[in-house]
Amino acid sequence: MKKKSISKAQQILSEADASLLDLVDHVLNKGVFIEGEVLLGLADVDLVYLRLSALLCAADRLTET
Amino acid sequence: MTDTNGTATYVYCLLSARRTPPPTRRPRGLAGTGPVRALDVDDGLRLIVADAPLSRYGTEPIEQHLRDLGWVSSCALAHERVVEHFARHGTVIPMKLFTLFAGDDRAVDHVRRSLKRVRRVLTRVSDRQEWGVRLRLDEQRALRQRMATEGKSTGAVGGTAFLVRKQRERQAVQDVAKDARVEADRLYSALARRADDARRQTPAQAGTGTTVVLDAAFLVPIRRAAAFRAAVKAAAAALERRGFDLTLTGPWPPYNFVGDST
Repeated sequence: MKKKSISKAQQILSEADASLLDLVDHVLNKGVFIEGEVLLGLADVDLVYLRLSALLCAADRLTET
Repeated sequence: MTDTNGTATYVYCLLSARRTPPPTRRPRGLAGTGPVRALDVDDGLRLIVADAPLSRYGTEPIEQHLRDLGWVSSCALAHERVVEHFARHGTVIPMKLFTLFAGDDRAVDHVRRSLKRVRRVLTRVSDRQEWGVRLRLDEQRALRQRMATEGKSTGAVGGTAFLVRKQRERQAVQDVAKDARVEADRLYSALARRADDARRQTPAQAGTGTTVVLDAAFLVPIRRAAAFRAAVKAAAAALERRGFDLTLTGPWPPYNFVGDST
């Protein structure tokens, strides 16, 4: 079965749930009120953001078809 | 922080409310974390927190998991549910996903040190919600529409006709791009007038064919939400005919309006 090789991200994408991606974008990338002590590496957050942007765009295209 | 046996204090949001919200029917929060609790910070001000095992929510485990969008999404969903639950009990200042402190005291101290700022932000966001607006342009569709309205050929044949058509196409691509910038600016200004505050993100460059020309957030008083939505709907209908696609998301807790620059 091909299905097993589908990653979680692709699953989310295939469901074309742009609102879920919007949610991740909001809670992860938007305004910081206080900086916690257990810090995330900035580079890693940027990485998530880049992947997210790509997914958001891809989801946009998916919902069009 | 490297002690993987310990727990950290996970912070969901700051809540400003007259009374402590009842401990019943609170959402579960992030997987593996303790019950959602309220910590007193100041008069009518509470931090909404939970214990988070460092074995799952320490720096390293989180960083390892950040590549897994499925995991990040489920955390995001759990985080948002807690924030939205408490938003119904008062005004919230949402925290970013994975805001963690070494302990309760550290988290409370951190907020107490910036009480002036907390009060200022609370005043600005109370009785208001955030709405997200994204304007996309389907370039191919816009081009087709533009070429169609400009009429067909000039009657020239052969090589000349080919060159004329090519030139016209190039011009159309430029016109469409310019048109999109103008529309994005116009929409942003129009909606910003209906909001108390507005933020415009640098639009992400989308893949081929579809371009995000506006990605913006608006802080809108709850009593004006219906009018704001109606304005977006009206704009969407007009833009749709010209190859644009307008989406509205929300209402959100004011994630975009609690940051440092604001």
